[in-house]
Amino acid sequence: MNKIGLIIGREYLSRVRKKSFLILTIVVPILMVGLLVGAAWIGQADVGEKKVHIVDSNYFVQPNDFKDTKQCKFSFSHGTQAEAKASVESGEFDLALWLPERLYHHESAFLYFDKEPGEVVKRMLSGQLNRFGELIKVNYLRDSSGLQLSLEQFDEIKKDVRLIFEHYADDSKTGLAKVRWGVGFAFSVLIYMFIFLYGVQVMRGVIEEKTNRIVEVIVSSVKPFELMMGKIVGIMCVGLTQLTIWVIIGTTLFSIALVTIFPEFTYDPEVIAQEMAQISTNVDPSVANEIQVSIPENEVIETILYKINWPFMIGLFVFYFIGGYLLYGALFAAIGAAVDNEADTQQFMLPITLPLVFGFVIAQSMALNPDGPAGFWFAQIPFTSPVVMMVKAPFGFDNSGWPYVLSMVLLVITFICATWIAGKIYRIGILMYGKKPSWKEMYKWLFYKA
Amino acid sequence: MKIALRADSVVKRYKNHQALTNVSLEIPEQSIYGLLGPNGAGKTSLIRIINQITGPDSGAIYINGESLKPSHIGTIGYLPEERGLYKKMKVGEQIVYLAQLKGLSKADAKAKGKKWCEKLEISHLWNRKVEELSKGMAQKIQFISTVVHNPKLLILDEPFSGFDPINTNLIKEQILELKNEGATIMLATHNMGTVEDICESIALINNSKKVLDGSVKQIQKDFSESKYEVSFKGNVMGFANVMWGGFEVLDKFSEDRENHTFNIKLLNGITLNSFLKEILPVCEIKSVREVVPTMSEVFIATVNKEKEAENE
Repeated sequence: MNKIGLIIGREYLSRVRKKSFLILTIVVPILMVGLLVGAAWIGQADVGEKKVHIVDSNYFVQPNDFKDTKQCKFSFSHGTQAEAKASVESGEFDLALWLPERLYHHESAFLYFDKEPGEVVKRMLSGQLNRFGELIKVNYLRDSSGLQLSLEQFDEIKKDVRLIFEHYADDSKTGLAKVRWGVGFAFSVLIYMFIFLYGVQVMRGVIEEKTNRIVEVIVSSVKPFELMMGKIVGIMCVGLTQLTIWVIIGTTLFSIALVTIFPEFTYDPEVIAQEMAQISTNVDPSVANEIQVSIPENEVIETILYKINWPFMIGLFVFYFIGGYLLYGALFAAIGAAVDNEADTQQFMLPITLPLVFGFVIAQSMALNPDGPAGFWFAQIPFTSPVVMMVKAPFGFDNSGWPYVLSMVLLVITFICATWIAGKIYRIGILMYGKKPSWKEMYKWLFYKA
Repeated sequence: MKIALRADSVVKRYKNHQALTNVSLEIPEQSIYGLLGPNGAGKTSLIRIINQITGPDSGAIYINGESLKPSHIGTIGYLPEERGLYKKMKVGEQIVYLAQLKGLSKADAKAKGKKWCEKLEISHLWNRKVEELSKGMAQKIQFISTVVHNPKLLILDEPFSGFDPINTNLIKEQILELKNEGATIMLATHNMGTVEDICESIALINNSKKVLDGSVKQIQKDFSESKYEVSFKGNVMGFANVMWGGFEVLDKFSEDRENHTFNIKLLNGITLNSFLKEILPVCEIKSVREVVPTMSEVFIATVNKEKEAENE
């Protein structure tokens, strides 16, 4: 065990210390955020002015509660849900925001559209609605509980009002499915990239040890299996390190970009401070100290937060990330052991990369049909499940848990089998030089005695 | 005499190829033992079994009387014929890493590694990357990583390949020193000069079988064929006519008209004594020396004999 630790340490440090690792680790998140911000910038530019009809079922809205912006011009009326929809259908308004009666009990508000508005408008509307929602809740609580506010009540106020975007006639035409798919797909891409990048690194590492002939020195000290696992796990740690740094740099940069370049996406801190001051005069002083002015930094994430079970998704991601990598990493190690140089790997790479690429294609196609049978089956098959499950999970399996359990169990069983097989091939392969083995020979290696 | 390593009827078979057939041998403690044999004879297979890289199909290996077990790995130093280092790693890190894999603590590995680098005059390379070094330097580092953990048993496969004569001597000295400090050394090589130089005993493996073993001196004696080098002053014709048919001239060399050196082989069981008795009246003998076969000749003769036996 101690020796595996040494091998993991060497594999890890020798890679993390490389300049290319440092550069990749820093440049990629900068590039990604740059692209995102750039895309948002361009997206923002071509939004025309929208006429927004606010339909209030309760006489809540005061003329100043929603303020006109570059993108949106508001008008107000009292009416019903049907009237709100009708105002869009008639073409009189681009958007209709319907405020239901019990908004203070955090019932959701609805935004009806004919053409779905862009992110900029959505965020701006959500922002204004939330501020308005807080006001309404403050008023409601003031009326119902006198002037004293408890912390629970304050938290209640701070909860955002959910804004549901719906087509006026067809509620399936919402962007919700796309958002869900997008989140899952982002995870999928990460897993896919990670398995490929680092799987190939495992293979290269094995070939390197073989070609520079150090492998016989090492296996006279440690078991070949330990060497193989040490390499796979060491490189996995490199990947996890890189990913963690990416996430940290990425979110930091993104937050900075959001606050500095797109201030309209965020609340105006002064307004909030004023509101807070108003509220805090009515709040128990001991509670007031605990209240901090919070500025939601990223409305996109905030929106997604309601619809995606994040702890669950992240848990799944970590599991499939590691499970998928271990499965493919072992197979890549076996290929590396079987050949003498990288040029010879192609023949063996194909059958391994094919299911991975196939899974990726399925994950992409699920944007159109997330609940189809392909999503279910390929989320079960261990060779595609790490990539496909991440896209499938945000949609769920009709609320049943067993498909997750089955998929995970299958993945674990498969990677144990793959590691066992790879260990056998590796053990023989690393000490074989010269001729490239055939599939048949590699199959025979499985039954060689140690 | 204690036995450091004993192989007992070791058999190893690969799918289409017999690597070792009932190979038994004994290596005395604190000796240098040569493992000889043509390419593909089974030397590497035997060495890999001793290093527990593979296992025998049958038979057993004993180290100091104990049957082979994982804890023996730390007591063996192995320099494979196919050897190399991590090119991107620094010399010092590499030596420490390999020593740690053999069970040394980091501090211990560093201290011993540095000491060895001083011994082999490469201390200045400690922080250099292996890829920046010449082949000879890399070989020195390879040697250090083999011996740094003070192994009781050293298995060196072609240890001198890649060294110039000066460094070959340096390494030879280190091997002898290690032996004097108590190590047992198994040396697999094709270099027969080395065998005569430093090996006390050998085993010759051919076609998966051990065909010859014993002390180098005894083997040379066994293979000597009454060949002598005789230098004398006198008449060539006289020398040649003395024992007509009693010897065969293999080679001759004349310094001038009077001084000659003949390489002869005595025939028909004639002893050196009776030969000298006949020759003394005819010429003045300056020196007589027995010509023992070189290990190279022993090697070739043995392997060829095996081949002939196989063909018959």
